[in-house]
Amino acid sequence: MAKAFVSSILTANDLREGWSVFLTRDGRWSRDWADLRVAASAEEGAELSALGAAEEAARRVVGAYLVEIDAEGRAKLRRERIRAEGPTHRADLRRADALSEAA
Amino acid sequence: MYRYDEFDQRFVEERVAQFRDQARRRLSGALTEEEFRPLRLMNGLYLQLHAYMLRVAIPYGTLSSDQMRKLADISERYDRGYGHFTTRQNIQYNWIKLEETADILADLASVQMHAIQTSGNCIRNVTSDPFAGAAADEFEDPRPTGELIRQWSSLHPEFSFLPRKFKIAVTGSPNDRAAVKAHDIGLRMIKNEAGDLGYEVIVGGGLGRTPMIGKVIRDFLPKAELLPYLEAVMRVYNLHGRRDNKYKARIKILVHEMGEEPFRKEVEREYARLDVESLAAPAEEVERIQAYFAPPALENLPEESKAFERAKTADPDFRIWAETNLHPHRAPGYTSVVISLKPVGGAPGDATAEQMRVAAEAADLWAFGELRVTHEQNLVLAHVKKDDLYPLYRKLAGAGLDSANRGLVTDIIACPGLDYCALATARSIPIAQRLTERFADPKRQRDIGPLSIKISGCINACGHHHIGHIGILGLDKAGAEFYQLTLGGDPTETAAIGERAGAGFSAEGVVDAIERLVDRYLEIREPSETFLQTYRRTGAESFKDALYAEAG
Repeated sequence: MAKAFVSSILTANDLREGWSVFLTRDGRWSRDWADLRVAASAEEGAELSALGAAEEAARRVVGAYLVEIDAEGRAKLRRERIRAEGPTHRADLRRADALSEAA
Repeated sequence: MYRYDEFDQRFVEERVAQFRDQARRRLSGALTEEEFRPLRLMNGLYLQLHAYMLRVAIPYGTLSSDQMRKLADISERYDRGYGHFTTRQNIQYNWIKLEETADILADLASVQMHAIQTSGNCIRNVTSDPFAGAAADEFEDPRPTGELIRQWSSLHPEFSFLPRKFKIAVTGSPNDRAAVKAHDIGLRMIKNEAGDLGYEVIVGGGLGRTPMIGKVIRDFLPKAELLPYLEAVMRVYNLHGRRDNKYKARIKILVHEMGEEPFRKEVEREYARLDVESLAAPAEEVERIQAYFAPPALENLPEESKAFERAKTADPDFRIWAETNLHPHRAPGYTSVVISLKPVGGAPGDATAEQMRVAAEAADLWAFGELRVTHEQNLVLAHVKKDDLYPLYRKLAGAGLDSANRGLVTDIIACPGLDYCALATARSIPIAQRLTERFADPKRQRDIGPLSIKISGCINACGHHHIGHIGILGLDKAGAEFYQLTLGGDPTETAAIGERAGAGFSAEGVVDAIERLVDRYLEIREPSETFLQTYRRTGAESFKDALYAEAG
């Protein structure tokens, strides 16, 4: 049986600046984990992935991939939460808009 | 220290120009990421968890105060005001922009530095004893050997595409402070019966997912034969090392699978075929390199310093620092100073731009303008007059660089872990932070004595956990960080891989677990016995009991 699709957002790294970025509802790449475009079905996931590939080809980002999120809209994996919110060892390195503690 | 000649400088500048063009072509679309990736990696530029990461080589860990100041400037101008000194005696910047990387490389070139061969399947930065040229117990300064290997291995056409990365470490002292037995090749300077200096050649050590202690394949290699012999080892590895599986591609696997004796024979056979004379470094070139490492002009001083003794009496904090952070110097009246980058609650090996500048200024004022980076992620001023220690200490204290913990339980090695690294499975730095907080009391630390805790955030073992007296390996178990402990590891001449203690601990539980180990040691140690000595005398059982007894 195919694995059930988990709602996901699209992330990548900004090609020029390197920072991890997230695709917003209005199609911008943002450093902030806020107002993100969510794929709720496998079809929407495929669409988002294709969009990621196109954005890579357009040389705006590098290494685009889908990140699974939970019911509250947070990344399911700790790795992805840290990537979105910044290193956890120094408060001043956290992204200002961090939704919550990564841990 | 070594200074670039005209050829070195031109070579590095050409590399900057080449990379500038490669980055431009990447941004213009002429190069795909697939094409660009190996090119950026050849210049130390990784794409990490948050951003690009640039790893800058610090050859054998030695740098000038001007170079350190440049590292500080780069961290402010192009990064977020700090850098991370690594177990390979390098520095890493975590927030680098691709479009600025060529400018950073140009800034580095202006102080004779670069990021070449800090990544990729080539011979990486040669590491060494941080007290090289100063230590009382040293046969000879190992850095000219390191520099010779650096020159030989830089863009060596035959060894630029090895099966896997390759790390060489050199020590000039019988007391190994460079972990040479945990390297692909370890070189230990030794004297033979005739009193000549040469190298004991150790091959096939390494950590990572298959930790191994290196094997001695040549008891005594005359100094002049170094490069040809290394050439023979590299050829055998290049030819027979596995390329089908990156996890089995390091030379340690080859030595292990071939067997020590067949490997040795293969090297000797290859060596016999080589034109040793033409491959050996010309004597005048060796002398030229050697001259750069001439010792600084040390004064003739009495062993005792009255100023030092007075300051110790007057300032108890200074006395504690001086008891832990000095290393014996060969010249009377001098000492080497360890500047700890392990403050309580800090990230091991991190230094702010301001701290780098203070260390550079201290080097200018009191240490001949030279610094070292240690594989334990601290800094060293190699040649300091004891008379100058107190003003030096005061200066360091003003920048939070006065942690009195060298070699103690809070002098923790930690990789960047999941806070930065795309490969990590768990965080390392927060565990180090919690441990340093738990053991913050200076009196307790000194009572515990020499104890190294080393933390890796994945099985690649950048945090050297296998050779920590206590090793901590961070893993992921169904989405939760958990930490396996190893006991009895040793990076020195009595090298040993730590033994797995048993089931792992949660992030919350691991600090308590370490404390139980330490308490058990304090209970059962004999007078003046270190943690490692106690562990070796009693074996693992008593410590395992301390770890797991409660769990029943």
